[in-house]
Amino acid sequence: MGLPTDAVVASRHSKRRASWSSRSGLAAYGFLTPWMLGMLLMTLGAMLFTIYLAFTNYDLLSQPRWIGALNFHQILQDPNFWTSIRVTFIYVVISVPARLIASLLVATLLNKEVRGIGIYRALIYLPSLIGGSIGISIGWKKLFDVAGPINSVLKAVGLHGPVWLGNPRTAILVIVLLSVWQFGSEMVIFLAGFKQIPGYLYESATIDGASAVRQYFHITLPMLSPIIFFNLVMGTISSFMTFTQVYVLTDGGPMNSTLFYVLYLYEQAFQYYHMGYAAALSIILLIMIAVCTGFLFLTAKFWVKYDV
Amino acid sequence: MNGFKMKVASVAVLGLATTLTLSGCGTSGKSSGANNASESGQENITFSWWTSPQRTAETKKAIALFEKKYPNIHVTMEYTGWSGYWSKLATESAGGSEPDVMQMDASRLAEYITKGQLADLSSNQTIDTSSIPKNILQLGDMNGKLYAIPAGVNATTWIYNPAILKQAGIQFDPSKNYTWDDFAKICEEIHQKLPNVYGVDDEIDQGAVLAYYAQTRGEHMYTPDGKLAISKQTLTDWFTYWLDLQNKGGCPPAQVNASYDHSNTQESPFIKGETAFQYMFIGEELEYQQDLGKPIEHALFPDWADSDKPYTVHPAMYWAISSHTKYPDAAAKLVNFLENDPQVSKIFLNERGVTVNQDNLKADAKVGDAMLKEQDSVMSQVEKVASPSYLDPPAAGQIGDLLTQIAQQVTFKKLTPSQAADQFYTQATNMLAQG
Repeated sequence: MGLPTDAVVASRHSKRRASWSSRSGLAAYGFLTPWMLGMLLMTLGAMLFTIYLAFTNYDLLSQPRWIGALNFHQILQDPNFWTSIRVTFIYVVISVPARLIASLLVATLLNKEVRGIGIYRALIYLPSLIGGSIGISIGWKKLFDVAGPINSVLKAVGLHGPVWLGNPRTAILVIVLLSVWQFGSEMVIFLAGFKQIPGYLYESATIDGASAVRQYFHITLPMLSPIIFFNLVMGTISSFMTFTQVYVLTDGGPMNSTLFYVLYLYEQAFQYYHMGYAAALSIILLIMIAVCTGFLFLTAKFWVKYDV
Repeated sequence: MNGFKMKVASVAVLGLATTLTLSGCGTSGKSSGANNASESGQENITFSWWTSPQRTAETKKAIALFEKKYPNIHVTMEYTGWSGYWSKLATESAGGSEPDVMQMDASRLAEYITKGQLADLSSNQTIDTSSIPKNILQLGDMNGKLYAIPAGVNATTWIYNPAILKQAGIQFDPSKNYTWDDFAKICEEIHQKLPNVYGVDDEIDQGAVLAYYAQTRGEHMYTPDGKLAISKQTLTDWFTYWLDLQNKGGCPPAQVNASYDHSNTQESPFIKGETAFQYMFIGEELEYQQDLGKPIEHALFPDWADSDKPYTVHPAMYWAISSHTKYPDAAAKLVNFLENDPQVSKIFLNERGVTVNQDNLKADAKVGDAMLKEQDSVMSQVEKVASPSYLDPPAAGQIGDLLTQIAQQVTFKKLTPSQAADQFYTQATNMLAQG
């Protein structure tokens, strides 16, 4: 019974909105112009140009020369391409879940209402504000130096620390750790998510005698699943594009054990001036990210709950 | 409602106006600048170079002198670090906004010449080359035309820390013509006497040293027309030499070597007093001496006095002029000034390589310190035994990175020296074919 009336009200409402917006459309477009220009010239234009470049041989100094799909053909036979794919996937598979779990755990701890909790939240959020910067990366490089603070501490307790950044096994771990340490933005989103869960769910569970752990796994996590999903997707996308930390910490070494995909793309573009080849690499990256994100959306049906 | 409409409209107009101003200001600024220039006879040229803090200060002084001498020429200075410099220069060249005068490196020169980016200076009357020895001027030559003026020359040598050798009780005489095996024995002995010290930095991944090694065996890295010339046997022996040295403690273990990226002096094992020898271009050692805080000495590489004449004079850097410059005359005046002015030479000394203008070289020696005199004397020692060289092919930079990758796999024992030689040979040949 209520449904038709609601629809009528809604449509009347939207009609009013539409006419209002057409009157102020000029203003909207006026304000939007800088962004529209930016979008068209800087983003869309550049994207279309990249697609064109991917089918050319272009070294910046001479005109692009059309070579068809040759770049893609060469990429598939390039051992460094496969190395970078392997390194990047290992990184994504380890760092994304590690960062999710870390941010979820810390958010759970910081969800308590105690005095001064705001200061703790701010302090713990801080690393993610500065974590992607060159300065932090250089700091980490010093921290994990052969004779750096980490190894000094290990030495003090009688352990012999490895050459962190010089060992192919540990170098990627340092980069994973740096990523996990920047869990702040996910943590803030989780904290906001906790506030969205209705209190009555916990009240009735308590009355039914459910323990705190049981409540966490049967109320908190399912209610939080859309937010976990959001962080998972965003984290996966940004992990594929990791560059700064690797560029500063290891520059792809030792033995290509940290040759991340975007670092390899950068090398091809700005060290060897193989712009066409790099453009082709970036298109492959776009496809990889799209496929992985699509896969995550497919799995969402099975574990993400949008209703109570 | 009318008032509201007015407000909306005015805001919209304001937004549009701002956008147009913002997006238009780049071009309008430029064109008005050009107009002013032509009216007052003022010539604006851009000069760009890769730099270090010391070089920035020195170059600014030189430009101030130039602008004082030629008040109608204004020089816009662009400077940045080594790796950023080449990205920037290539991007600017692609966009048609390349600098009029640029500092050029031997590893990139052939590429810029073949792509038509550099002006032919063969018959330029403004640039005086009469005080530059013919064999040095020829370093800027391609197919009989002069495209770049060498700003200075240098060569690769060992630098060593005499305090370590003394402590280890090793007699080392830099005037002797040691063989590669002699040198390996000295390095191993250092480690035997001082267990925390290695003889030499691991140079297995250093293209400049490998090129020299090839020449001690009568081979070259590349042919004059840019094909791979080094043999697989020489590559195998090169990897074997350094792997043996590593196994015997003559150079540091793989992991220590891999964690040092050769870009930061402070992290060099040589500066930390962990190695006695390191390879170095003449002119760059001053920073090492300052960081080490102790005097360092030079020694030429093994087999330097052999009949093969393995040494070559290396152009430290060049001055070049863009083929698209609007002010070729002002640009040539600047190059001539930087190259030949005695005052500028006294400011630069050997910071851009050992001075090639022979008159300035003599005059600078009178004001220079002990390090300058040593650099001059090592360079003249090299010049006496050097054979002519030619430019590396454009892919040389990429092949340098390939060497680093493959050499690391040798040091970590993932590849045997002969497997490494095969891989290097195949991949380098491919890179050269692709250009």
